[in-house]
Amino acid sequence: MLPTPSQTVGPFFSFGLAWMVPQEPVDTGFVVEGVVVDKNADPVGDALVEALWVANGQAAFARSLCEPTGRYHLRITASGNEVASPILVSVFARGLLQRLVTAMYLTDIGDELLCSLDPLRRQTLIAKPTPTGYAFDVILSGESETVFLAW
Amino acid sequence: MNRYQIGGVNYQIDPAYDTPEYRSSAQRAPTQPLVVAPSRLVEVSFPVFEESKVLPRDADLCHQFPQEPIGERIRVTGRLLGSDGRPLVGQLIEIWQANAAGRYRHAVDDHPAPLDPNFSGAGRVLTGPDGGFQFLTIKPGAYPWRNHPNAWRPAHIHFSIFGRLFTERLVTQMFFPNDPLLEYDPIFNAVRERRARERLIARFDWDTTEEGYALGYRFDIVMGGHLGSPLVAS
Repeated sequence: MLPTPSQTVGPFFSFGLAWMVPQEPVDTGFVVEGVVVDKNADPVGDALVEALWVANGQAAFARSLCEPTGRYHLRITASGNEVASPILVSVFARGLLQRLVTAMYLTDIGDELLCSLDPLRRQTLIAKPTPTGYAFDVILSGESETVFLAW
Repeated sequence: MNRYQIGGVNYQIDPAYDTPEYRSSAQRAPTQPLVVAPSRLVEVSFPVFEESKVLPRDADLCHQFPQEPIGERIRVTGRLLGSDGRPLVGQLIEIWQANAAGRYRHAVDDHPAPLDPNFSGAGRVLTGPDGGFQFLTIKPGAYPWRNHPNAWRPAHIHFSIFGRLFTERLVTQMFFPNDPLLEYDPIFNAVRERRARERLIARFDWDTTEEGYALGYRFDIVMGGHLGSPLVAS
């Protein structure tokens, strides 16, 4: 059967999708935060960022709605050394007719994917440690664009 | 890109990131080719969703407030299927939409049309044993946007579906049959294949139309492995 095609999430999704974002602070695990920016390095204030990771053999999921500054904030509910690399990240936004998918590595483990990339592009997939977790910016377009995945 | 083969012909299902008619894609579409990931990296199952978090009333957008919303009451019924036609059971579907006047309950929507105090525009449901789902809502209105002069979006309901695997995650839109605005909508028409675009249009359905109460529309959703499933003959 022919599959249903993708369409953009549009700009006005927060009232429909925010219910899955934890309302109370969670204090287990660590935080991944960063900004989503466009070709002009302007913040993408209407992006939806989702993460899927595996920790101790169990899959877990988190969703964040960017602030007007383009900032997102995900709580990974496991410790850094329990999480299998990479964390899979989806970005949806107005202007994106399909999601963009990237892989966030907490350390550069030099696996098949990373080794296939040139050194500068490879760096776009490596998160930087912060006092509360990791920083991972997503550059949708342009010269320092994040590596995005297909399959 | 997601290509499917039917009757010996390749179809590209999903719209391209860079679609010039859709103006905001210019600043946001990636310019580098996508990198093909090893399948073991992306073939990760989504966690099983906690059923207790979705209540039967979440699928009824007409009764979320003390009074009913204004608009044409509709029942949207469908089935969620894998590309092999098998039903996907217990899957979360989220929807969101504008009200009957074409206004979203969102701080940034400045379309000068009224908000409806009795309509949130948000709903969710879990698919049943046959992959079936149903929402009761009102038909959303068309609304203007700034993509090009005198641009109007055809009436649509946004859908979000997870699927079993990460590769299946799908966000899409459901349109209504015989809408004259479809022909002019750069988002709908970014799907270049006519047969794939037709998947986005619900069909009017007498069987689910309830006498004296609500019009019925059917919208079946078929999951692929978006972003590049293998070629599938069917």
